[in-house]
Amino acid sequence: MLKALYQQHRQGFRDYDNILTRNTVLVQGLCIAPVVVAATTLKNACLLGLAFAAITFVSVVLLSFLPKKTPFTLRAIAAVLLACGVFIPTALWVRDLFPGNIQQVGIFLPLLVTNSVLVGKTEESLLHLKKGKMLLKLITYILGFELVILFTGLVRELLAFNTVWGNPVTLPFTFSVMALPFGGFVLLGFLAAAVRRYREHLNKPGSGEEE
Amino acid sequence: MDLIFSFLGQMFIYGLVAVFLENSLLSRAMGSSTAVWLMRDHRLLLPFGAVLTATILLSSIGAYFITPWVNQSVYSYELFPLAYSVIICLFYFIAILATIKVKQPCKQDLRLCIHRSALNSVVLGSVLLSTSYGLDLAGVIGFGLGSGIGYTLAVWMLRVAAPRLRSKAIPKSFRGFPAMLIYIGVLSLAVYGMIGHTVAL
Amino acid sequence: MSSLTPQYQSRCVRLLTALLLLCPIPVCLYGPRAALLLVIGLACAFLCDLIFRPLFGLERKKRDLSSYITALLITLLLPASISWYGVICGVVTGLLIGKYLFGGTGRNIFNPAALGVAVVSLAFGDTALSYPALGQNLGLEPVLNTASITYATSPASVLTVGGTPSVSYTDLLLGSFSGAMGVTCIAALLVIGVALCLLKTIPWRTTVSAVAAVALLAALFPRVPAGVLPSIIYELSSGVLLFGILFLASDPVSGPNNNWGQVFYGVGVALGVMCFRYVGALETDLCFVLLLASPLSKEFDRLGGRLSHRIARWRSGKKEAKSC
Repeated sequence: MLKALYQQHRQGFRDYDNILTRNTVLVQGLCIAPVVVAATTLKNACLLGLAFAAITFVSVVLLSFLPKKTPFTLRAIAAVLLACGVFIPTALWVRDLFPGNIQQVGIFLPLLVTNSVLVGKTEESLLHLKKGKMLLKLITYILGFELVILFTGLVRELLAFNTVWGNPVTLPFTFSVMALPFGGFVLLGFLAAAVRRYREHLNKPGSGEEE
Repeated sequence: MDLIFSFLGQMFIYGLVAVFLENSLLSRAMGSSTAVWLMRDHRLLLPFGAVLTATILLSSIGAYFITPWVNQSVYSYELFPLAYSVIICLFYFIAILATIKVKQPCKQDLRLCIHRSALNSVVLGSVLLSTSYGLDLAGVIGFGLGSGIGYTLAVWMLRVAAPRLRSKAIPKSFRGFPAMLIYIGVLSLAVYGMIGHTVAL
Repeated sequence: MSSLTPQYQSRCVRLLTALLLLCPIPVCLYGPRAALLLVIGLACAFLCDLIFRPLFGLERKKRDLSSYITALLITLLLPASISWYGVICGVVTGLLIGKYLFGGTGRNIFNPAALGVAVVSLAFGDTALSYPALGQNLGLEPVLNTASITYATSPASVLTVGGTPSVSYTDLLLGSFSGAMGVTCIAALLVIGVALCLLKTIPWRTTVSAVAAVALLAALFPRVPAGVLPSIIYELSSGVLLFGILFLASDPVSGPNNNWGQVFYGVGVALGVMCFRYVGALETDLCFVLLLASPLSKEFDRLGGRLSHRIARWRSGKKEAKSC
């Protein structure tokens, strides 16, 4: 059914599906650093995911109120400075939610103020849209990132530390390299390949029967 | 004279550390999206690298002088990104103004490099790292130079393998971006093996 | 099913023969566990070929022995006390990520054995880099009880802390010291190395330039306080250096093909290994260096090509001058 829906509304999926078929991280290659390096546990992934959502959403919405005639340079500067402003209450908020994890994510929390969705994609594919469509597309960007970072955090914590949310899980082996950037890159690479394979399947002309 | 040699020596050591052991792309995956872009338009690699290195260097020096003031606040962790971003944006603005007199087509390419390099996670990340390590001025300069050069070298290593990563021999699902991610992962493994421990995030 | 070139096939056969000739040595030194690990490695390679080749849509080539060579290389670079899972992890990672993912036989960017050993060194750090003392009866169970094993200090770890290894030169030649399974018998490695170079199975330029560069650096910057000659001998025979230069750095797929390129590559690898040794602490340093150097093999070829061209031009210039 999804295949038939995709083939019927291919353009719509291309424009708005940043969750799966044009995933923010796995297809468009945005915001890779926090996923690969810092999301080694589910808690870290939640922390970064929440912060990313707050910073990106609020900053883009505020940025959309800038006059359209503002030069690109000034808009880019405004985007980063707005994000830095939003970062202050966001950092205080996530510090309360996850008291022990701020040190674990290191510089990757403050680095979210220059994330590539905000600095790159906003200008390219969000600001020229009408408010409603812009919000929808922005939410899909954020959800796409959340999906990947949470899944990556879960898998890496399970394999590298044999825990989920800090609670021990019995597994016959530990694969500690998953906690390294190598593990993050390889996991992302396989996920990106899986999404591409799924997209090929959706693009193949078929009977449209649900599998 | 001894002071100058000591200054240069420290600069050199921190530069080497930033290039190899604390490589922005291979150890911390910073600037991965920009690396993907540079793989597509690799003629801009050297100019981009030069602009990036200059941006990091100037921003790091600026950040070095304002860090003691920001540190006095209880909310220094929350204020650092704002303080450093102001400095980076200032240099970004000045750099764009400086390209007014440059002739086309260099102007377009130069502006593109400045746009993509200034507000990049590599710049802010390198500045945050050099201040979090508490480096002195020599270390900050060396680390800044090394970060830019190290990033450029890492992207060059990607560019070298780019034709093979797009080769038809690679299974279709992995061709291009997925293979590139795994390739960077293996390089990061090699760098990690040299350090022998995880870098402090 | 397509075929590999006859040259490649005969190279694989010779390499496999050389590795099989080395296999009895760890069995003599460490007992039947070494043989069991080697069999597990080979079985794993067979299963990987069976499962992953069709999964990645890769064509099976006739008489392709490369996976078995990779499996033997990985197993011989590990200690005899490693668990079965360590060997399996190394072979699967090396073949899956190092070989199949990048297009199968003849297409790998990284040496699969180097990648497999690097991953195992970090994933199983405690057991992958601890070497059992000789003469113990190591059991055949999947995971050995580490408390019941006596570990010995390898020459490489003594060098790391600035000491002089207490292994005599005779023991070095005969392999009577602790280390990875296939790397300790220096005499066997030297004989096999010379034979492979003479048979043109491995590029002698890479081998000789790497060994010469390591010797030079060991002489100029000795870690051993006992003098220049001991420094050279211990640096060359410690860790996985000699084995790695003969079997890993000589891979024609991930290494350069141009003559001068091979020289530069050998020197580059040697420089990298010695830098690792001064800065890092892992015995499998050569594997990590190869992961950084092998993507640059085409650049080494390009550099070598330019130098060859310049030399040819200089020679033709000289000839013209003489004839004038």
